[in-house]
Amino acid sequence: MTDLPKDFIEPIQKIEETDQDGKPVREELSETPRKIEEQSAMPPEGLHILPEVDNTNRHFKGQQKNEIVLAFTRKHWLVIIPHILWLLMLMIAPVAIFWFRANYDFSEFISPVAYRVISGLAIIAITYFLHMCFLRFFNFYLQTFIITNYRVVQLDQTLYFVRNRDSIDLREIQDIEIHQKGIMPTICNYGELIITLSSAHATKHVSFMPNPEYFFRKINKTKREYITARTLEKGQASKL
Amino acid sequence: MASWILFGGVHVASLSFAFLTLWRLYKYIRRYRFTESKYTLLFGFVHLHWFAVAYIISASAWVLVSWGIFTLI
Repeated sequence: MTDLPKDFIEPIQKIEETDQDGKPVREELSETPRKIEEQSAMPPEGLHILPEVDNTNRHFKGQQKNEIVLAFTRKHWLVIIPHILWLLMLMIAPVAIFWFRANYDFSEFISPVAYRVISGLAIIAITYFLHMCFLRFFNFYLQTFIITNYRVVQLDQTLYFVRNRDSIDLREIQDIEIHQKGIMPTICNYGELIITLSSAHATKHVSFMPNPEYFFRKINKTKREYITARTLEKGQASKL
Repeated sequence: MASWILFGGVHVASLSFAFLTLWRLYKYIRRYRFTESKYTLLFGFVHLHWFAVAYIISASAWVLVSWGIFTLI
């Protein structure tokens, strides 16, 4: 094991947190100290910079070389519920058709040609909805909100067509608010995270954020540590 | 005959789209990996791979089911 200076590893260990239940939250960072010890070279004596671990494009496109993912999340599961219900309805529809056929004779109600046309259109429609439902599920997994040691990144992308990436530097964050209004957000523990930027008082809204309290604390804490580290770095660089 | 050509065309397109989607998905998630936990997975336990398997099974099963519906009369 590489003998790292105590104050070098300490800020990273401090970031590990517990959730609202008091249980430790598993994050990307939980493995990081070991990886750092294995992969990194000793930093120069007295220079408390981050170790040279190449994380470029490791967890998301555009990740920087020394950028470590501290926590990430997806939207709350409630956003996917309508699509699950649609999928269940799609599954029930053929069963209903077969049941109807078993109990009644279709030819009494409809001519064979008309049936072919209607069933053909229904098959096309159901095929379309089947694919759309699964695409929504996959997109749910791709749309992530990430907190790194440098910034907050929102990946709003889909498998086809959309590839948006919104990144906010931690030092640009002036204020963070969480809004949890209503019965559902309180019971299901989700809310809206509003990040106010220092430049031109612009705001960034992140809706359907699960466990917003945790991410509120996490961003605040990471920002504080980022500013402290930057101040230390600047101080030490000026000494050198 | 024309209806069967249309039926076959729809399902060829459907299955091709499913494979293309999964290819794009796995290309992406193999490149950019996250360490998942119960706090990040859907409902705390549903992995993305489960949806991928369900997708390919559903798209394939739908070919058979729709064939059954198409030939009811």
